Amino acid sequence: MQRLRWSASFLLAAVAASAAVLAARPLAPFVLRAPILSRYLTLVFASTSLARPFLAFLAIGVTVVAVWNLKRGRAGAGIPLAFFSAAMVAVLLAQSVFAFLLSWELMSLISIAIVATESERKSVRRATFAYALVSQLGALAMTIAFAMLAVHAGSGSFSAIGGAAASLTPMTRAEVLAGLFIGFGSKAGLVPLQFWLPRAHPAAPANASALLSGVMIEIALYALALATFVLVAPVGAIAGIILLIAGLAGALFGGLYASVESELKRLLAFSSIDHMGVMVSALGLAIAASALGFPALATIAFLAMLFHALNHTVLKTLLFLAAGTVVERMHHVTDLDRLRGLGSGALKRSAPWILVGCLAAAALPPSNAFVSEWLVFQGFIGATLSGNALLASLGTLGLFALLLGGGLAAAAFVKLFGIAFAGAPAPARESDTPEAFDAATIALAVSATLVLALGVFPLLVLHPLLVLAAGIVGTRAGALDATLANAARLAWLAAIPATVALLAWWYGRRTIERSDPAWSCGSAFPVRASYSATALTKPLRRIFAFALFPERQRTIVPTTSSDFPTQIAYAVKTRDLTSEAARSVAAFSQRLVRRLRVVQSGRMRAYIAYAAIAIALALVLGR
Amino acid sequence: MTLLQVLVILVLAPLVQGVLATTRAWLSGRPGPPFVQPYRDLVKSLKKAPRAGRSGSSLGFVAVGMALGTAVTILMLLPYIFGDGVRTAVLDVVALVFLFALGRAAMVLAALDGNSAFSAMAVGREIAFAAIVEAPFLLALLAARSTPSSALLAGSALFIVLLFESARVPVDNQETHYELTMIHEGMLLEYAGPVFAAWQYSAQLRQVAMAVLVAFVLAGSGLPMALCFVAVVAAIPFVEAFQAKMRLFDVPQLATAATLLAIAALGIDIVGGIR
Repeated sequence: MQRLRWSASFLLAAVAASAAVLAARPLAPFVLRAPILSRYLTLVFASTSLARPFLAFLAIGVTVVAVWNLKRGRAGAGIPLAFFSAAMVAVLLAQSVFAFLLSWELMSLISIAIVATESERKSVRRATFAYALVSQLGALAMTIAFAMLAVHAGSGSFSAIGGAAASLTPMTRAEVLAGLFIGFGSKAGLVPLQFWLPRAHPAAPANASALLSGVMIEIALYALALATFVLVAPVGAIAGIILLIAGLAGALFGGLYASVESELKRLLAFSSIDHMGVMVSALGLAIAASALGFPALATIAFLAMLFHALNHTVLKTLLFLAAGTVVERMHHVTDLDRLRGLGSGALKRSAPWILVGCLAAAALPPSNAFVSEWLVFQGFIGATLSGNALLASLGTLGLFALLLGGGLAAAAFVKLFGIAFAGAPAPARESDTPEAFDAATIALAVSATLVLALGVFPLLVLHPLLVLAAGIVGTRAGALDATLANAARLAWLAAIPATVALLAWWYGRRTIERSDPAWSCGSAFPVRASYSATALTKPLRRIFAFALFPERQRTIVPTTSSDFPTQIAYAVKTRDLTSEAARSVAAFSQRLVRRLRVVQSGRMRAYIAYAAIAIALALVLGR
Repeated sequence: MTLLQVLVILVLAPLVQGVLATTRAWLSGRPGPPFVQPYRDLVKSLKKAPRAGRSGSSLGFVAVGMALGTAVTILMLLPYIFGDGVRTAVLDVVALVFLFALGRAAMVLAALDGNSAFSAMAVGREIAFAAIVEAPFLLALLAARSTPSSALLAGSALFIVLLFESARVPVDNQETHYELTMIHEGMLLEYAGPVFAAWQYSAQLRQVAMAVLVAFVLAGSGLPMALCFVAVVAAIPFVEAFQAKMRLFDVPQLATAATLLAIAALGIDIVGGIR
C-alpha cells in the first residue's frame, strides 16, 4: 500500500519535474509527420514563451499534490492524476491543431474519469454527466474553429495560423473566436458556461480537485491567451470587451455564490470561478487596451493575469488539499454547519497554513493574491484614468464588479475559517488521534510559505513575467518600473500587523485564563447553539435575494402543543439560474434526441442509404 | 512630519470618540459623559486581568494584534496635513482599502472565535455590509481629484462609508447594548480587559482614519483638510442625533446610494479628463 503511494507520488513528481525542465528552457519544435496523412494532421510540440510560465505553475501545483499524496488520499489515486498532469503538459506544449486537439481531449477525458471516481454517489454521476456534456460541446465548438483556422492558413501548425491571422475576414474571425471562446471558456468556468464547475470540481477526490481547480482552469486561461494573442492576433477591442465582461460576471457570480455556500469544497469551487473571472477580465482588459492603443496598460493587465494565475494555482491547491485533509480527519463531513473548532482540534497542525490560504483566497495582505489583485486594480484604475471614454467606462465597471466580488469572496473565506476552524474544539472522539506533522501537513506548509513568499517578494517572479508580458503585448518592459517598485513596497504594509499579531499571540499564551462560557443571555451554552454558516450568511441571502432566490423549508413535527415541537427541520436553498437554464437545455436536447432516434433503425440498408446521401450531398455542396 | 501626525492621531483618537459621544448626548438633550471618558474606559479595561471565554482559541489574540497593527499602518498611509501625503494616498488607495478589509477580517475572525451566537449574528451583518461598501470606498477615493462637484459627491459617498465603518447611526448604534441589534459591539461581546481595550482603541483609530479620508476627498491635504476634518467630525453627531437607526435590510440602500454617488463622482472626473 505504502509502495503504491510512493510510486504514485513519484510519477506525479516526474511529471512535475519534466514540466519544470520544459519551463526552464525553450524546446525547439518537435515535429511528427506521417507521410500518408493530411498535412493538417501533423503533430508539433514545443515550449513557447507563452506556455513556459504555465508549465512552471503546473509543476508547482503537481509537486504539492505529489507530496500531499504521500500521506493522504486513496493510495492509487496519484496514478491517474499523473497521466492527467502529463496530458496538461501536452496541451501546453502542443503547437499544431491536431496536437492541441488530441492533448486537450486526452486532458478532458482523463479529468472526466477522475471526476467520476466516486461514482457510487448519485450526485457524482450527475456532475460527471454535466461536465462531460459541457466538455464535449466545448470541444466540438473548438474543433470547428480550429478547422476553419487551419484551412485558412493551409497548415495545422500554430506559427502558420498565427502568420495568416491578419488576412482573416472579420466574419470568419468572429466565428473562429466564438468557437474558441466557447471551447476554452467552458473549461475555464466562464459565465455563462460555469454551471458544471461547482458540481464537478468538488465531486472529485480532493487531490484531483486541487489539480482541476488549481491547474486545469489555468490551462484554459493559457488557451484563451493563446487564441487572442497568438492564433487570431490581433483580435480587436470587441473580443476583449466580451472577455472582460464575462470575467467580471464570473467574479461577481463566484464571489456571491461562494459567500452563501456552506459546503467546503463547493465554496472553493465557486471561489475558483471568482478568481478565474478576475484573470479573464484582466486578459480582456489587456486585449482591449492593446487594441485601443494603450500598450503599457495592456502590459500591466497581462502581467496581472499571469501573476494571478500563479497565485491561484498555489492557493487553490493548498485549500483543496486542506479540504482533503478535512474530509479524512472529519470522516467525510465537509458541511461547514457541522464543523467547529478544527483549528485547535482535529486539524491543529494544518490550521495555520489554511488560515494563510484563506487570507490569500480573500486577496488580503500580505498574501500573493493581494499583490496580483492589486496589479489587476492598477490595470483597471489605469483604464479609468486613461482618457479614453470606452476604457474609462469599462474601468469603472470593472472596479465596481471586482470590489463587490472581492468583498463577497472575503466574506466567504472569513466565514470558512471563522466557522470551521476558529473557536474551541468540539469534544474529540475516542478514535481520533492528534494530527501529526506529516507529509500532508508539509505540503500545506510549503504552499502557505509560497503564498507568503510570493506576497512579500513579488519581484522574484514579476520581473521574468514582465519580460514575457511585454514581449507578447509588444511593448518595453521598462515602462512599468514604477508600478513594480510600488508592488514591491506592498509587503511592508503587513509588517506592523504581523509583528503586533505575533506579540499579541505570545501575550495571550502567557497570560490568558479561560474560565467562562460564551455569553448566551445567562443560560448554559450548548454546543448545538453555535452559529452555523448558513445562519451567518442570512443577511447576504436577503440582500442579494434578487439574484439568489433563496427558499427556505421548515418542517415542524408538533406534539399536543405547537409551541413545543418534537422536531424542527430547516433547510435553505438558493437557485442558480445558469444551472437551471443549462438543465432545461439538456432536457430539451434529450427530448430532441429521443425523437431523432427513429432514424437509427438498426438496419444495414438504411445506413448504406444514409452514407450514399451524405456522399451525394458532399459532392453537390462541396463543389 | 508624517510621524508627528500619526502620533497625534494615536493620542487623540479616543478624544474624538469622546467628543462624538458627548455632542450626541447634548444634541439629544442629555448631559453626556465628559470628553475624556473613552480614556478612562481604556484605562479601566487595561487594568483588568486578561480573561477570555472558554470557547475561544488563541486565534482571538492573533486577530486583535492584526487589527491593531492594521489600524496603525493605515494611519501611516493617510494623506497628511503636514507634508506630502497626497502622493501616497492616491497611489495606494487599493492598499488602503484592502488594509481596512484586513482589519475587518481580523475582527470578524475574533468574533467567530469567541463562539457566541450573538457575536456571530453581528458577524453575519458585518460581512454582508462590508462586502457592499467596499466598492463605494475605493471608487470614492479614486474620484478624489478634479472638480469641486466631484469632490463633493465623492466626499458624501465616503461619509456614508464612514458611517458603516465606524458603526454609526443609521447603520449601527454604539449606545445600544441590545444583543439582537448591535453589530460592532456585538462582535466584541466575548472580549474583556486589555484585549477589549485593544479592540476599542483600534476601532477609534480606524474611525479617525476614515474621517481624515473624508476630509481629504473634500478638501485635499494641508490646512483645508484640517478644517474639513473638524467639520466632518462635527457632522457625525448631528446625523446620529437627528436620524433613527435604519431597519437592518434598508441599510443596503444606503450602500447603494454611496455607490451611485461615487460612480457619479468618478464619471464627472472621467468626462472632465476626456475633454
